[in-house]
Amino acid sequence: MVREFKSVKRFKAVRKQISLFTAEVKNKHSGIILLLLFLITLIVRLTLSFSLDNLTYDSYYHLRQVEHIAQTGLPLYDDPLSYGGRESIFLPLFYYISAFFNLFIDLEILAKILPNLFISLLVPIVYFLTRKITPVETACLFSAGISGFLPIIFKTNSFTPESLVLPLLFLTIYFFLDIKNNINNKKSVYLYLILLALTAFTSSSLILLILGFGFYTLLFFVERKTISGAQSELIIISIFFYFWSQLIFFKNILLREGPHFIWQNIPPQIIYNYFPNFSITQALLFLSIIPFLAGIYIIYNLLFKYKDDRYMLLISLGISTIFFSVLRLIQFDLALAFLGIILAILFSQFYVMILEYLKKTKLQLLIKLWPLLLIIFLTATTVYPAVAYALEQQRPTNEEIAAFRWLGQHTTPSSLAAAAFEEGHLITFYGQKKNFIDGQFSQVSDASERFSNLQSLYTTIFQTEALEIINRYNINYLVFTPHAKEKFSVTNLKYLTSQCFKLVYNIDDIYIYEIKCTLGQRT
Amino acid sequence: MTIITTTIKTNSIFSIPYYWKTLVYTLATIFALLPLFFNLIKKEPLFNGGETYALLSFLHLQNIPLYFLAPLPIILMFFTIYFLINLAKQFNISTELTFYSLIFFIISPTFINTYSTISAASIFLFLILVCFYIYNHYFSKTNNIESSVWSYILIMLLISASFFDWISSIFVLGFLLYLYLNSNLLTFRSNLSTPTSNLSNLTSRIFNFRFLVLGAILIIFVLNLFIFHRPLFFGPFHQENILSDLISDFGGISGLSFFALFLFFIGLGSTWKTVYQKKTILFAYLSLLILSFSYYFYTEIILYLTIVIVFFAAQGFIELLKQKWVLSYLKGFTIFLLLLSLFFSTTTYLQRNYHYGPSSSETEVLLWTKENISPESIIFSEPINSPFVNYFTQKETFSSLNDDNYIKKRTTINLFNSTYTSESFPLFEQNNITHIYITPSIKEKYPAQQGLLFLLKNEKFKMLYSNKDYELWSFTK
Repeated sequence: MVREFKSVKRFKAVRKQISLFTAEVKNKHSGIILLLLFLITLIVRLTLSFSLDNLTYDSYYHLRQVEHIAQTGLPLYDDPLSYGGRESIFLPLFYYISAFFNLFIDLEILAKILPNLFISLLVPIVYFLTRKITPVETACLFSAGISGFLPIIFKTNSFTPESLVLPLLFLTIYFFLDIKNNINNKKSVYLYLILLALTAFTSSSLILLILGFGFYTLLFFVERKTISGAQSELIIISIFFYFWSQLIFFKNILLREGPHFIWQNIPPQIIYNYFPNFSITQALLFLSIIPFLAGIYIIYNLLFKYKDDRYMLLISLGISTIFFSVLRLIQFDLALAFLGIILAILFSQFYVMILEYLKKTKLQLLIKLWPLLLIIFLTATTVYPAVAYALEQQRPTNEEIAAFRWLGQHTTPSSLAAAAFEEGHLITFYGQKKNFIDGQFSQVSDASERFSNLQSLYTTIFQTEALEIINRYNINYLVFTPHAKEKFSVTNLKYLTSQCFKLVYNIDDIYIYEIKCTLGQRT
Repeated sequence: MTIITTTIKTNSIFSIPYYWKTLVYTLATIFALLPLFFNLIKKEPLFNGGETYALLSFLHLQNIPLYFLAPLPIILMFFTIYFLINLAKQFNISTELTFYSLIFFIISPTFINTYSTISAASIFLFLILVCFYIYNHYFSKTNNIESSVWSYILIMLLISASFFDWISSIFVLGFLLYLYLNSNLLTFRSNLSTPTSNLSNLTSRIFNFRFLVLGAILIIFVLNLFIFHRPLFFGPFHQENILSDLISDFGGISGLSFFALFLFFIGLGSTWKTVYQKKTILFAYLSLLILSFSYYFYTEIILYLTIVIVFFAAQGFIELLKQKWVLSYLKGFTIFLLLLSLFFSTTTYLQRNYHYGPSSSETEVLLWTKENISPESIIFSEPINSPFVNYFTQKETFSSLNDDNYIKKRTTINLFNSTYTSESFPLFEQNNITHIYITPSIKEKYPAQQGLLFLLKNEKFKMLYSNKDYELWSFTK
């Protein structure tokens, strides 16, 4: 007990020392450095985004929603094209914001600018958030820099609500911590509530914060400490508000799918792609080795040695994210992105600890070189993998897009086309035609069955089997792209005959077949 | 006994009105009547869900018109609430806690489901509460063990309560055992207050009472084991799912709102420190433990679990109300949001309550079946349909959800999924199945291109009657 008390006391004293030591750095250039970091992040992201053709496959689903809102002012909840017509309920805020900007900027350009701008905003948000818990200015700037270049969030060509929800989430956390420090700050309370509402109507990912609050309460309970009145009240209202808002939108999905709604009706064949087992190797790769290891070390130290309340919320958020990822209850990519940013914030404390250690060794040169060395290490382990990750994003080629555009122009409006499930959104967005299947599985009662049938359609050697599936779903066109070849590991469709499958498009190794037969008869 | 103090500021909008009992009874009546009212307007059968029909078939009451039975759940509900209020008074539970517990109970889907239908759980709860009432009024307080009339009534009611299944019998046996052991205490108490001349008379009466209790235990065993062959549980009447049967927002047939459950956790958190100080809380915790354990095996006991959960949820709600908030300007909004969410779950439940069948189209097919097929017929369908088929057709079904026969369960699955007539025909013949009853739910669950639905194209099957996707087929050997 006495030993613990001494270590805490020592830790606080050292932090005070460091605070004094770095005081001259504070206020001098930090604003400019922060602005530079933000601009560098944004420019790198935009450069990559515009140098790479097109967007990721799933982005086209979101583009369609924005397009529809821009045209009609209403979200496309009754989608007549996806899966040949289905109900598709989603949280609309991201689409409305995008639709607003779409009034001034072309949609495809907007789709490259807006998400990158949102994600780059994480840099100043993380900086200010880190400043709430770490007094060392340089450490805060390092955290901000890491958050901007985390490989997992370097999907520069992805247009999804996650790009907005991450900055919103961390801004919400910022105001929550702000309230902790000053309960009379009504402005912060209102801003917290507004941000909470905005996040709740952007993405269900707010659950990460809610689960973190649960762990936060648990940690305080275990430590026999009391959460401040204002914070516990905000936690209660956050939980109520979150579940109420989600119930309003997803009431029917909850009723239909029950607890299985967590897995978004993703077919069992590919569920491991979305909810894989938590892997340390992947975490090291996507979160970058230095922030990851440093973050885990800091969590251990702060949790078991120093027991500092200021970090408790961030630690809780980190632990809950890992815990629920391991249980495969949270989508892996999002959980990893969230965890990565938390570890980036906690990295600031690692920086402080190392600085303190170096100061004890009296190696003045190393103290001066420490930030520089860190920049080199981080560039090698964070920036490089991030750029590599961005370059490897799965996107359709220009030729594939041209084929889907052709489909839109040369087929009847009621046509239904089948393609690999990732390409389903290209059929609806560029082709404006019904698709057989796409990547939005939620709320589709026979998603798993359709997925199996799609697999059969591209891999079977029997024409009768293919025609049986084609007839059952009234498929009129079959699209066979290099992506489908790779996906299904086939070089061609074995059952094709010119009487039943008329080749109507054949450019750049992309084939579109018109179905001319029904099972049992030839037309 | 310690009084559970949960006082709320009197000027608060959440303070308890003086007419709170009237309010509780009115709300309870409205919520219990709403499903019946909706069914009446839609011209659907009065009661939703399979339990009512299973119970009526079980009691051989198929010929009584459902409209005559409509007041029964309402009467049960009235008395249950009356006895619950009384029980709360016995346990010295504050008015606020009683009021909010009852309100949360009334707006829970469990309450709506239970008291808009005829259910074994509601009858059992009613009988047990009556027993508690008699025990508290005529035994516990006055030590009036000589009151032989009440002894007989009590024992009779307890035997009736054990009627449905073994699990209720076990509870009743526990209660009887308590009475038996407690008669010693009563003897001791009576010794102190009774003149010596009457002592021998009293001792013989206590002996008689004990004899009565032992007799009741024996009767229950004989009835359950040798005459009625009661199952361990009466039911289930729907496909059980631990989570969705507890949280109605997940699509369960009953349960509670997610928000009530959240309040329950607040209630647990605020009372756990007082477990050893307050007998009522200790009793509630013990009940919670036993009921949670039982619920894991049999979700039909949700009614009793709901009562315990709403007790803690009310504690949590009062805790939220009485606590002085630092962000006082948010308190009203939070409470409003909470109540809104609770009612949201209730209204959502009411909207989908009628889905649990039977529909008028279904009853039409079943009533036709009753009139047009022979009494010896065995009807094959999904086990979940068996209460409706049994009740309306008064014919035997091949399998039901509460059937423990593993071979029958396996055969049902095989028949629905069999690909070849060479597999399914022998099964139909061996089990003397003469008819097949197809519902929209079966068509949704099983593919039309394979399995039983595909085999129905065979000439051995003949569609006898159909109405809006409800079909009756005959199977000719």
